Amino acid sequence: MNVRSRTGRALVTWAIGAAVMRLTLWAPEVCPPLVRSEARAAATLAADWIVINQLDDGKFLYDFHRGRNESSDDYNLVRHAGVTMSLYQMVRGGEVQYLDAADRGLAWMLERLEPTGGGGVAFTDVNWAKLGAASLLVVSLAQRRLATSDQQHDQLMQDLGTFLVEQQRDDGSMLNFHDIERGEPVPDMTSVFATGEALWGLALLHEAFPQLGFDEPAWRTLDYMATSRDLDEDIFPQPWPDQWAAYSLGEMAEWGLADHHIAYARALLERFAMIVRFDAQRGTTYGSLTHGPAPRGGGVGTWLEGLAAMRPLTLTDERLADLEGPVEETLACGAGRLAESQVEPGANVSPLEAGAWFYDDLTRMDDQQHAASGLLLSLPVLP
Amino acid sequence: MTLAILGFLATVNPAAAALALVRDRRTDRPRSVVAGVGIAAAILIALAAAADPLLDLLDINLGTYRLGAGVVITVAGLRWLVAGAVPACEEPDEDRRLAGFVAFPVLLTPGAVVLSVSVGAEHGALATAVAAGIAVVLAGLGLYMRRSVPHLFMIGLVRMLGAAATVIGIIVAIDGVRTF
Repeated sequence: MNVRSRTGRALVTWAIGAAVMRLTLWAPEVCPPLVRSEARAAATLAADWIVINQLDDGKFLYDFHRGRNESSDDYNLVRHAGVTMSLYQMVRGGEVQYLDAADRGLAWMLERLEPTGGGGVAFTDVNWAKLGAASLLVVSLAQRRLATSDQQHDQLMQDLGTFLVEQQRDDGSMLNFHDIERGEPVPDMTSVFATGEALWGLALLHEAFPQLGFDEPAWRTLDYMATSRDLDEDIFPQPWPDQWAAYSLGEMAEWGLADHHIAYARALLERFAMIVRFDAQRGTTYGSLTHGPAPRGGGVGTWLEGLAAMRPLTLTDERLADLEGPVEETLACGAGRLAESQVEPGANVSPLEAGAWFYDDLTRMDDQQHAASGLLLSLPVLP
Repeated sequence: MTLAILGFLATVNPAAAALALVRDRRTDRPRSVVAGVGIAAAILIALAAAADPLLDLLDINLGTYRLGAGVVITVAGLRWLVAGAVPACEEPDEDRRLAGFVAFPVLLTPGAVVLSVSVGAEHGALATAVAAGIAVVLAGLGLYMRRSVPHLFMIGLVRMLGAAATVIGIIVAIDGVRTF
């Protein structure tokens, strides 16, 4: 071979390689600009969708398929509690117009409480009560208490907390189901979502009732999540992008987090950031081809929740101070991407579509829940 | 810094450089080799110095860049590990052509180029100059003294450095995933 042909081949390889890289891994990260007022408007539009489509008995519209112009008969108590929680978050964020709707959603849950074997209370309408449903009911009540200073549900919160503790195993892991008839937790069944939901519930319970000792089970579950949970649940890659863990860490920021908790928080922040950056590369005209279709609004919302919930740690804990700027930048980028894909209201836009995020023509109530919460929590980093 | 030096050694692959030209004929043109080494070093250092503006131009975050750089280094490393060195070329007659060939494609490998931006962004141009300088000088020496170095040893060393580049590429990619 002579040097000319080798050099020529190398140039061709470089050109093809550079093009492939630019189209794929090095695709530009597109971060639409978003100001605070726009983000708040998008969050309230999402909350409006929830409220406008809420049923008279307090239940929420579960989903809507715009292609078939129909909603399914599905329902999910955990998601109902999550949507209610999001509305209370909006109230805490100054959007008090959602209090009535949130209280109607709460009333629907309060009609579905069952005593558990260990003296607690679960939120369920079937024999196997889900941990996540009770957890997010606790969180809803805690958000309501913070927003209104109304303490009428304090005893219920504590009873729900008793149920959460009932579901905890010695290593801090949480069992997902409780058999109401038998009065005991269903063994060996866990949930990657419910563990973090329960932890946040326990943390909020300790904040509300510091004398009742909910911090001890909270620490036990946080230790478990920071060290073992992802291995036990066969998560790959790790860590599981758990916004509930993020909320919990944010809540427990002032409790005195140990180095392994901070290491877990850092790993979570890195994970959320990587996902947001990858999604930002979908912003090019060919992005959906090289990076797959855009995720549902609820998915993006959870990333924003995760980043925003832990942002206070970067402000108050020296061990994460180096991430303060990068977290803000990534959060702002994600918020811009999320707001851009929301259905705008208009004269010819149905209330079943306005303010929603659609995936394969389907929107679900937790799309609006997570998006509203994520956008609301992103406000501090936006201009 | 140690990882940067090892990284450049693996991505420049002085053993592959030593095998880039045929051994049965070698003209004594140290100036051309030195010129090629100098050009390669200058370009790698310039890339390191321009790392931040380059990333801005590409509109990508350092973490995203590192992920891609890691993939490039890994692929290049695997190529050396599996296929060994590229067949040797006839030494060109013209001094300038020899210098140019030494610079590209012998020393300015895909892995070295992408690594220089990554190291530059994190450690600065000076650190890159030291780390890349060591690698390209060794590579240039290997090329110049190729008839003196054991051929079979170099063939094996190419693959070993390819394996090292593969590992370093994976490390860089994982670091990219974890970098904000």
